[in-house]
Amino acid sequence: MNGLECYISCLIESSLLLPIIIMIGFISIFLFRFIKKRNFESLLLSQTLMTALITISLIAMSCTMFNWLWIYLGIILIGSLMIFIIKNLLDKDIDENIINSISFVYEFEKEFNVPIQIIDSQRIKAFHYRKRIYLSIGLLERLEKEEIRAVIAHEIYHLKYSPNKIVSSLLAISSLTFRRYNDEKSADKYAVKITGVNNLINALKKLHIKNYEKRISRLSS
Amino acid sequence: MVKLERINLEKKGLTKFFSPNEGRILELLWKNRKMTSPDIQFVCNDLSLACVSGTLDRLVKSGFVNRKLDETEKRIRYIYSASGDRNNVGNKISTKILESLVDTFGESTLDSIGKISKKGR
Repeated sequence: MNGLECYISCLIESSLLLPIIIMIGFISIFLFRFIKKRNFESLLLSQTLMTALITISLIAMSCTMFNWLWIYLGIILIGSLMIFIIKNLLDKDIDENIINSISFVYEFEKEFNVPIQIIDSQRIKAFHYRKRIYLSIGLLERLEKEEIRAVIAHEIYHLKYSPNKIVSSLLAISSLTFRRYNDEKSADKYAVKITGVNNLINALKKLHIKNYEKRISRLSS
Repeated sequence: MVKLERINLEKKGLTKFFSPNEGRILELLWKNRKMTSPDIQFVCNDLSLACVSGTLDRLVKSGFVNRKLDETEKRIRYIYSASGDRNNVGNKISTKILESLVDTFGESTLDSIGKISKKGR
């Protein structure tokens, strides 16, 4: 008996296994297709359900020929363990010099209701970390206020809606794509919605951000 | 401070002790006293924004350049100035190199310095 025959005979002989598999499969598809607001979370949940589905099937069927499924589960398990170990080893505070009491950013903090930290550096830096947004002086001095708003709005999107790196890495492993979820496009759209397209385009042009030409042409179209 | 492993006596001018971009920006600051980063970028227009920014951060960290934050309601910016003139930088680098030589060769370095200073007179 080969792997496929084993699988089919197990499905036929078991009474509850087939309905369970069909139900979880439908829930996964539903979560992935229809919950669009938090797209990434639904994708992750459906991935988790799929993994659970595979595990249940394997345990119920006891088909030794489906070794590749066990290998898949092994990759997920080892990958997840590695991510948590690395996370605990590398989880430190930001290694940047922070300048306190910069009144220049107060109005942005009020408007977006998010703490903004200023990095003492001429380099162009804008990122979020632990519910705060970090901007460098180098970035602030090159942009007009409306352009700074566009950058902050972009980071706000990441802060509110983007998955954290751990979740993103888990999904990259469970989907076997080994590529992290990238939602720069959605963050750009969000910034455009709040501050207008020209401000974000101007900011990208002035800062010479990586792939800025591609992002500008995407925003312009 | 200048890293000893980066010193290359075969090069010319300040590039013996600094990278070409660091030397160029230092010369600019000695000449103009106070400059903003867009001013520096305007003069060094062949260098990228990232390159000028990185070089300025390195020069500040190594203590050869100072920067002061200038904040108004509309704008925020750094104002750069050299922390010392050409002679100060010369003193700093010479001291560092001599200390290293004395540490390695001891008396013979001091003899050589004596001979050079006699020649100089």
